[in-house]
Amino acid sequence: MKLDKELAGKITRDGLISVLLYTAPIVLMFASFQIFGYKPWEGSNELPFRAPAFIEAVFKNLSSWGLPVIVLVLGIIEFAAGLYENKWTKNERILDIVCFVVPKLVVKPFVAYFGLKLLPAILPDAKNVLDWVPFWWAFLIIAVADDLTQYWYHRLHHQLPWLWRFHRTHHSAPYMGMAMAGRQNIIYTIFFSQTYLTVALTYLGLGYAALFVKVIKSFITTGAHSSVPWDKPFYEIRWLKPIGWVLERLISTPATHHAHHADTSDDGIGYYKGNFGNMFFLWDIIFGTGIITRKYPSSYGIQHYQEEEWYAQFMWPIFKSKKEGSELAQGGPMVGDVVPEHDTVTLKPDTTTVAVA
Amino acid sequence: MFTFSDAVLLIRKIAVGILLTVVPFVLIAGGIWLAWQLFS
Repeated sequence: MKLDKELAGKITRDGLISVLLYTAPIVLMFASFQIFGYKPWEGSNELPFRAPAFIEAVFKNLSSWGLPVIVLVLGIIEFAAGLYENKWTKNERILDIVCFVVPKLVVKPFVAYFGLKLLPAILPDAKNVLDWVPFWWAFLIIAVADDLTQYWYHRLHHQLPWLWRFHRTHHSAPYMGMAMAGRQNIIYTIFFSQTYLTVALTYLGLGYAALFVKVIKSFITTGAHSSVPWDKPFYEIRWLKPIGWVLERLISTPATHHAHHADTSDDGIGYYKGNFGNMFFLWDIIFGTGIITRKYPSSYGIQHYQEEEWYAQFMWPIFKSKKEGSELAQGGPMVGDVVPEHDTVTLKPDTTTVAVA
Repeated sequence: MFTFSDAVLLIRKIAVGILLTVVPFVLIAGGIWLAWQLFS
């Protein structure tokens, strides 16, 4: 399956724009140093920025055990409220729970090896070499670096057909909510590029800011997958509307991210071929890959879903599905719902030719 | 069954992941280091 020229052109163009976006915080930082005559690398009598002890403790606890507990509690509330009724079959249940638990055990050794063994071996003199970067600049650098990288990781798994099946598990859930927020193929999760990038920047000395970015990002992405349409008041209450206008362009909301998980785009609400942003929706605005409707899809998932075995969805291509014709089966199609472009259908007996889009 | 073509796919996938880690890292770390040398 060859990538069409127009799409390849867009990816190249947006990749070049991304070079500017990655370096923009650095340019702004040094411009501010120039304006104020500030050279933080020369050291100062000031102590490095620390958040108030209480705030720091809250963020540290959220980062370690707090966020998973919040997701678990919200998930139980959703389940009790009947959100998953008729949809949470035994297979879906096992898959969601395995995806919630196993990565917490499996991914950490990979990340620890990268941060504690590989980086010191490759860059032995670089540890904490950038710890002079002021906190708020480090916060901006990490937020852009982490989320723009995840945008690209996510977008490429949708736009490069051969990568789609690694991400399919996240889209096969016919419901939104906490149960599916972390539902991913394990290989997709292990090789999350932004995780290793943030670990590498932490190694250079930007780690304190990374803690705060991680927690804020987790709240936004969890909220975007949530069954609670927390963004609705921003579209309906008059004095909140200007804030809503900015908010829906800046970060992912239930409306924009639910649209990404819709099983159809025929209703003008769903848009699974775009809205790739995770924390920031801004990337979709910049690259023209997003749509904003302020509405929520009526159904979610993928239309060609065959409820493949949980182990195949979690471990493909190591384990395959036994369902014939499935994308996850041995020799299955790369993308299951491809609509052939420019197919010609000949209607008999009057031999009229109709182009099918 | 895990096949040779699956292994190739996995290697290509990991290569994309590495590219998406290394390129931003070089841009950011290299950018800060370069500007630091210029202004110090």
